Amino acid sequence: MKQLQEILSAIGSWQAKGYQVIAPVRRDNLILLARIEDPSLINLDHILTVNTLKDFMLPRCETILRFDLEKACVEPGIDDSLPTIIFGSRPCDAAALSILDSILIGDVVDSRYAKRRGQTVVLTVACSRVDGACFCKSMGYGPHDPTGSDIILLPSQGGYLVRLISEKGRQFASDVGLEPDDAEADPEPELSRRVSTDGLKAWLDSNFEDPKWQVISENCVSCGTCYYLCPTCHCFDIADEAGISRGVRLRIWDCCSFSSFTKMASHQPRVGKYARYRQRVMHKFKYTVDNIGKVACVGDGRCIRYCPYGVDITEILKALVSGG
Amino acid sequence: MKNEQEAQLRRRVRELLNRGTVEVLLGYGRGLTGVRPLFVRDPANAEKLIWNEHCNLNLAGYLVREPLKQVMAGARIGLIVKGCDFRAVNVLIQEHQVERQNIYLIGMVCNGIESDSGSGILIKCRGCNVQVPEGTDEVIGNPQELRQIDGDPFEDVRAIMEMSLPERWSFWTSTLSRCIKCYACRQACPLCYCEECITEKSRPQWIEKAPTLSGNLAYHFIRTMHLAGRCVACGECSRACPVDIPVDVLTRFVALTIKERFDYVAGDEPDGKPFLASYCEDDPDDFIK
Ligand code: SF4
Ligand code: SF4
Ligand code: SF4
Repeated sequence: MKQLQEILSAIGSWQAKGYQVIAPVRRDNLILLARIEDPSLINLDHILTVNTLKDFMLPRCETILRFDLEKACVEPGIDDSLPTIIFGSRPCDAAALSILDSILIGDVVDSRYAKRRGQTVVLTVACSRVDGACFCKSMGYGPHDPTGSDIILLPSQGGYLVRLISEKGRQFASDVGLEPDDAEADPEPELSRRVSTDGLKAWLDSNFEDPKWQVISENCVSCGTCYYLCPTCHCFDIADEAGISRGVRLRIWDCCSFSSFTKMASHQPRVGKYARYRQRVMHKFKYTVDNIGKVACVGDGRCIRYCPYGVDITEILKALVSGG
Repeated sequence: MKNEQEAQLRRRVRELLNRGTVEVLLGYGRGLTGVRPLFVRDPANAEKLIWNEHCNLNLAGYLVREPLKQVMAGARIGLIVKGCDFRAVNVLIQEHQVERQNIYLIGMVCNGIESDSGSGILIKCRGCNVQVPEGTDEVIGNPQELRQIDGDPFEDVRAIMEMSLPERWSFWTSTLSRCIKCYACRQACPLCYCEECITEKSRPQWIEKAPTLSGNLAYHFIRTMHLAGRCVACGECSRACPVDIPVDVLTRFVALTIKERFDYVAGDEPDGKPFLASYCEDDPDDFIK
């Protein structure tokens, strides 16, 4: 078993080896994952950060290319990916990366994402506390689940046990001299929120048109909060920011709830808020299942915590499959 | 203590729905994370309505959004408002977005709203002069039980204006650089109802779409100016922001300036004129050099 302090004091030596470290820190009243210089600022006294690992693997804005009409040249955007350690994110966020990996490093490879992922070691700190919005168990994960992590620290009697999960994790641990332990961890905290996905996929398969879609989406105001804070949502837009002759082509986040979504291709095919909210549910619980065999939800509950109007995905899933 | 006002509200809503005075009513209900909007169509569901000192949401924005926007023409819609929310409805009426005869307003006598973080009565409630919402179709609650809420409703705005210019610039640049352009502030604002927001246009693209600092500044400055004389200082925009950006300080700063210079409060009078459409001979003009 190791004390947290011991692990934190090793972080400086990881940075010295050229790794950038992403960890939870306090900014005003928020706990955010951010690149840190000073490991003493790391805050692990939180349930979950507002932002997710997506911010670092598929950032909200990145330069794909630069162009200059006068010089008649186009250059690829700068590759700013670095060897990276994610320290102190939670199991649900790591699980979300495994879903993004299946999608973005699949038949088609998103090279920028793949490059960053390849250089990233995910060192998860498992949860000793949960809140009423957490429902990771219902999605097949859990407060101590190692899916997507390279190394996971499990809480045990006030300290942490190091478990090496992936080859990448073992490699990193031997590089920096992090010893695994096999003692028994504390029991997982209990989750109060549960939702069953039994029958959900079958219902979605045959109920694209159903009056329930209008009812469940009533409170939604079509903002992007639940999409942008979702660790698995990954749609993006391409925007050119240009002056008279020079400019950059950017990739920025986009989301299917916006009425302007996919207008760059031709039009937004989903007229009506309910149709856009339906797309959110269908994409997560049907299309992704059809494509990669898993749902695109890890039960982190951010959409529930941060929706300004109390839209609750677990309540919605229950309402969809319930009779009547 | 028994919540008599809530009980009366539920009774009245049941009656209004039973009689067909309204077909649908939008009020406050309970969700996991606190108070949330509740649409009531079935009179039996009036029981789920709540009213208490946490009913902060301004529900007026739903009048100009789906699904109420669509039913607006035919049906009569019931809406629960506090006096301050009523101002937003008035602006929507003045701007011809909502027909007064299509809505039935239940005004709640309000003793101030408590902040969810436990820091007491909200700043926006200070000095409130619409605790009894005059001009609604009916008022629920006992005006006799009101206490006066003292203080400066613009204290937070003034605190930022008192910063030196470099301090203020660094406050806004550091705060706004966290904006992810989720547009929750816009979607929550009862007065941001444009079908297509200029910030999202790409043909032609007028402003930087990207959530970079410059793109974020452009979005928020445009939004602020577009709300000049229209912002009713309800705070929905900031409440909605997932990353705690006090965006309403920008729009309320403009509201404060307009109040101080022109003695105009958006939505104060149901049949008043929109600020930018009104003109007085004695309007101050000392800023024209
Ligand atoms: S956060 Fe809430 S209001 Fe915003 S799009 Fe999601 S469900 Fe709709
Ligand atoms: S700008 Fe903010 S404070 Fe002003 S009316 Fe809109 S939501 Fe309310
Ligand atoms: S709600 Fe907050 S993060 Fe979202 S666009 Fe507005 S200021 Fe930015």
